[in-house]
Amino acid sequence: MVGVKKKMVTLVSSDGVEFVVEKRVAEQSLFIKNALNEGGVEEKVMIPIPKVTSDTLSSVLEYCEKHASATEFQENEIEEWDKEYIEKADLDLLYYLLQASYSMSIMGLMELGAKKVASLIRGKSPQEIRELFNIKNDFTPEQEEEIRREMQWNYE
Amino acid sequence: MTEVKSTSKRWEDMETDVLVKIFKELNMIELSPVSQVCRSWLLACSDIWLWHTFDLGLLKSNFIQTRASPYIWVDDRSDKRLTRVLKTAMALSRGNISCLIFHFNLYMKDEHLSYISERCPHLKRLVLPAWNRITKNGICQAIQSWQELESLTMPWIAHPPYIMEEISRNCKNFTQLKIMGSFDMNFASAIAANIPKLKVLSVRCSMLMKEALVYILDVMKDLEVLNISHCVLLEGHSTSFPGSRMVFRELEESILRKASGLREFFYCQNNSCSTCQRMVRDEGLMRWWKYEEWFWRLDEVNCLALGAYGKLFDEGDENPKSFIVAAVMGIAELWESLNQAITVYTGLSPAAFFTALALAGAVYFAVSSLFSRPEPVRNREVEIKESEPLAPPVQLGEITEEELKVYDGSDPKKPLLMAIKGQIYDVSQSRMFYGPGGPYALFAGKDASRALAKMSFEEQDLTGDISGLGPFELEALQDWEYKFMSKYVTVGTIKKTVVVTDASTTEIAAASTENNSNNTAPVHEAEVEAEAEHCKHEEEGSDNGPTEHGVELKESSHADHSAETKEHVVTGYAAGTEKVYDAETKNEPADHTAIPKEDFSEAKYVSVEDSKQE
Repeated sequence: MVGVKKKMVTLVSSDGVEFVVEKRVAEQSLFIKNALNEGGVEEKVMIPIPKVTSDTLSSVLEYCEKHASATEFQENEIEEWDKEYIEKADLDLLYYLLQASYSMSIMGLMELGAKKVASLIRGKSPQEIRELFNIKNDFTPEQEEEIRREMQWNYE
Repeated sequence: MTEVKSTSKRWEDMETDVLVKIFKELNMIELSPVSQVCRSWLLACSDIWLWHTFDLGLLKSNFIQTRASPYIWVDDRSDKRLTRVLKTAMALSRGNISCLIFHFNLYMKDEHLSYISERCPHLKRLVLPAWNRITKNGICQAIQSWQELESLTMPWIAHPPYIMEEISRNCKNFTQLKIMGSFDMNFASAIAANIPKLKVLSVRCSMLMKEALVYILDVMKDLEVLNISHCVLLEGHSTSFPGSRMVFRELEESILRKASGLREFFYCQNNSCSTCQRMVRDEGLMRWWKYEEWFWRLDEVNCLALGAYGKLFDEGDENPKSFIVAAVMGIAELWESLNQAITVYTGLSPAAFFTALALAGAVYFAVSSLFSRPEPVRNREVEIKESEPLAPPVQLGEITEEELKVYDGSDPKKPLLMAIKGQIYDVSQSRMFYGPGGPYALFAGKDASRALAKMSFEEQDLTGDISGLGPFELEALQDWEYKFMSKYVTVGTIKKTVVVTDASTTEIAAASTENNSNNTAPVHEAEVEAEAEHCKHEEEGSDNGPTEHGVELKESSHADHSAETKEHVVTGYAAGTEKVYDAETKNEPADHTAIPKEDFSEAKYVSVEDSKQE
């Protein structure tokens, strides 16, 4: 209990890698914040983050670190940073970031990822979307036809 | 991440919550291909989180006003577009919509309504401020399928009992009602009799009859929230004809006492409130289209206010401004389109403009020599007239300012007159505003141009002298003048003032020509002329109802030619305004197609220039 020292917590990824971060950074995740509150403030807290691999977690923590000190930056500075951050992420990372932000309850990150994915979807045909996201078409031909008929936007 | 990467089915197995979060960023049209990707995505596309509220508040019909019921003519393309939007929305939402919002200029038909009602079985809230084309049967059938309906925003209608009965029969949880336009005893008694358990009622920005207010407060014991903000309060028995009623400025102590039983009572009648000012300026019938796009969506009662539009509908892909006038139109419609044509007036080449001027002269010369002026605007629905019917305006010709003063309403036998820019208008029909005791009484019997331009009530501004006014003030004055021209009959001019001759004539005619040249099937000028004449005929004849067709036609006895000419234009406009009161809804389709001010002033400017040259 050294007063000056920053409170740290240890996060453990699904593949067993430990990340030691400041408490205020970890608390960007509502999931962790709640876990910390429930467990009382203990020294040397170890919080397992199931479902999130070390690669993803390190990227998530990068986001959390920036946003934990958001007050130090201008708003547009943060925006710029977010833009660059999400621009860097490829489709796979985007997927994991979304999953992680969902399970860890980091609303800002989830929003950021969702916007990015939406921008990738926009303007594409169903087939193009399937190809991009590697999604299998699980409709029967009849179902597909029916849905297409229903959704026809330019039927004139 | 490399080892986990190999899982083949991933994006389709994403939690629905995350997918919905992504899809929430897309609009309906962008969603449509997404729904065809795979089953889980299809499911996420219809999520209640996306579709809870479907706000079509940005979708408007392309329309013009017509003489006959439903007083509106909507271009076919507009209807098809609405059908398309609804089809896509209903297909995607799969019955998950619980709140539907439409614009006051979206005129849907029964078939649209029935399409929605079949596909939104769980609708809880409907905001539908335009009912012109919806039949009694249509709305009743829809209500029958909306057993869960709790909240309705609707326009004023002439015969409200049937809808209230239908609600009472079908919607057991109905508790919130908002009425736009006017609130009278008809409404009050229909609501009290059928929906006694109503909890929230808003009639903000309406013409509110005092007795209806008192009745609601006396009878509706379960009412918790009442909003009468910015209403123009009237004494009298119905709202159909405001001619002789008094506007009262303050809520009486007794009413406030009655209202003290409510949980929330919203009331605002304040000279410094801009919404109240708009109400007064629009003479009790808010012309929503004139104001900010969000303005009509406000409500002091939170649960009746409309929030952000949401992303589902944005009109990026289509151009709402394109205004297609069908080639085949009834003569009545054509006349209306002439009236409304200024809306499509987008700038003429000088040559075309002067051709139009010449044509205008010809048309109105011919017209004015044939007909005399009809009765002033009057409402067909006046059941019991408490006051003497208004006498037809008397032409005064050129009089002095001094002579004008006796027409300030102090003598009830004399017409109530008021002048703008030297033109004298008969405003007797709006005695409640300009007559003694009315908010604008001080303008009566005067040329108040300067005061109107500055929105000032100062003594020194009550003058026709408009020198030294700024561009914004002149614009405001222009606005007033336009309103007066469209609503009241000119009965003369003030001496010493330069007479602005046929300004309005030229504008309309110019615009009408323009309209026709815009037509998909061009009509020859001669035909226009003939038709305009024909319509004119119809117009004047049917002013007092179809049965009295032609009654008003009598020999023109007036000498002043230019005044006569102008008069005809004005009555054409006035007849247009009348419809507002006649229509099932008071939602005023009349000059709805928001006449761009610039266009108008441009026309004005050119024509004034022209008269100077002469």
